[in-house]
Amino acid sequence: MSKNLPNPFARENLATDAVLPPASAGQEVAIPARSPAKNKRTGKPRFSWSRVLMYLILFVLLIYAFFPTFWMISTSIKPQLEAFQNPPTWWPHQPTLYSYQILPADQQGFVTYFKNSLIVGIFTMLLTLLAAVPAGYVLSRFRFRGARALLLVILATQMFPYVTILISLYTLFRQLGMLNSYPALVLSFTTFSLPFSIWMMKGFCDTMPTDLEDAARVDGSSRLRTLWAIVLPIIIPGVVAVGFFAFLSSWNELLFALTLTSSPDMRLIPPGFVLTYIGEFQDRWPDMMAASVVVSLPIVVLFTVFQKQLVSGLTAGAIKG
Amino acid sequence: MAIANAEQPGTLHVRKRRPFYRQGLNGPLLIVVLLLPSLLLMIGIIFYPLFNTILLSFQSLNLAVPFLNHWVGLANYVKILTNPIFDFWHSVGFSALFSVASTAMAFVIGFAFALLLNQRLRFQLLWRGLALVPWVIPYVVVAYLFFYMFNSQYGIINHLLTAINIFGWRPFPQPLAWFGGEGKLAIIATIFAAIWNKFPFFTLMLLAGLQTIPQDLLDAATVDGAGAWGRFWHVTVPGLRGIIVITTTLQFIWSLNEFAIIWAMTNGGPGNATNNIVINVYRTGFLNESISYAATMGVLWLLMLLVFTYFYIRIMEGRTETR
Repeated sequence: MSKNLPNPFARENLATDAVLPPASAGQEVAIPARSPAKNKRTGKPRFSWSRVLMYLILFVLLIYAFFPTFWMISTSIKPQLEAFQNPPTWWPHQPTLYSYQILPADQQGFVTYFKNSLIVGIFTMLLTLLAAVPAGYVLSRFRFRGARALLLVILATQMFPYVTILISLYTLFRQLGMLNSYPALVLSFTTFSLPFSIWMMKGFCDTMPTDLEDAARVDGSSRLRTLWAIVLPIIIPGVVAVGFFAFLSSWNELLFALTLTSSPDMRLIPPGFVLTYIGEFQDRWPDMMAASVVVSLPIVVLFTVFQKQLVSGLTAGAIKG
Repeated sequence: MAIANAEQPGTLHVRKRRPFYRQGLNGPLLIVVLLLPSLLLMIGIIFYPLFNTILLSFQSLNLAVPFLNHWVGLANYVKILTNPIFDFWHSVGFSALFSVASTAMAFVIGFAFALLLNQRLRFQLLWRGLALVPWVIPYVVVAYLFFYMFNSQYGIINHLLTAINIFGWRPFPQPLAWFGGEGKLAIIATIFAAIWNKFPFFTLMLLAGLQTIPQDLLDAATVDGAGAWGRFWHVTVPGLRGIIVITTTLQFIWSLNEFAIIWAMTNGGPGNATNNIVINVYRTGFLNESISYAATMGVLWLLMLLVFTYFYIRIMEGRTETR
């Protein structure tokens, strides 16, 4: 198809072969951090109508991208009645943090939901990493019988409708008396984060040069030691990315969380939102928006902090194959 | 391990292999050990439940009366496919409509963003950060945010629409009841929310793809007399073809299985207007407790998706063969 897109299935480095692969240097690794245009030209951009048009379109798109978020923040600091005004006010006349202050009071179970989501998210992330990182690495580096079939299975599993699996998971956990428990939630969340994570990890490892590992092998380092001392440090950005997406998918997940929990003590944030704000607290918009801001914040902060690793981890697989 | 360490680099080519079990973790055993957690998990929480669901689809399990369970053969399949009470074909249709519309629009907006953000701009990183925010906002939050903005009485969107006045022509004189009526507007509202949430995925991936297109190629095209459009169509798009196909296919299949945004906004309503297949299975299996009917729908849906999956895998492999 395209020349600069190497394929996902062919990796030539054999596991049991300690010989240096013949000059496998032809792998471009990193995506240039800055746009080519910026590297190429220096000096101030000249004025032109096309630049004006470009900024205009960018402006419109940015408003589109950011307006709903702005609206969420603006509503969250409105007094209760102002959220119902027609016409709506763009910015509250009397901004108040009241909706944030009542959140910890736990009258809507918000703190419990937050705690549960955090616990389940972290353990889902750990379980996913534990399984996906070694598997992705192996599938990237080693050729062995069945590797291709395994890759195909993982690729296909990514596309499964998870609701089909949920039906059985639910009856299974019900029989085992595991509904409303952390292990059931963590295990079932791993169902959908695992295949994508393995695939992402494999894609990331594919873009990493093998030279260092090969050198370490030649120097007589055992495989395990090579993995620990050489491989792990260079795949950290990939690990960060995979971990983030495992956590994100767990933080976001509604269907499994709604089905596998019934007691309010075990509720996670998404079902908590659906069940709280649709029932008795319906139309308490500022409260809901304040809760929304608080729920979105950890993810947005994490995303901003790790943006570089996340982007390289996510795109490595897709762009490089 | 000690033996392996003693080997000289020069002798590696001709060394005799010891049986794998003597090589310990330096041999094939390492592969097994590293793959084991994933294999166990995949069998335990993906393939075993899947197999179990297939079994359930041939039974008549209803959680309200679990003791009445027995084998019914293909009866469930016949009922689901022929009886309109299950809303199966309609929900498949809505899933497809939702997925096509949201993926196509998200792609267009995401691509436009990527092209603009790839230009030399002031505060570039800030704009990039802002453009990616919608993607990491939790689905449920996205759903409620749009639900509020689409509110028929005090929603900002109705306010803006009714305010449109082009020389006396007012396309929306009355506020629209987004979540009432026959549900056409509810469909649009859910698709809008999904587009806003999904477009940054395309921006992110296409932006990374754009940066792998060599500037030399673009410069060469300019020298050859190509305008901005020519460069875009003959250099940029072909360079991005692989990533475009992969991202749209992935997003399309993910959107076919959308649950959170639609459920939180409309609960599948009004009526069955936004009842996509996942919501249909959820309602049938968990709200009405007809597990076996839900399992049957799930299996049918899985079979349909396998067609797309096959297509996707062919693309991924196609990249192998034409290399």
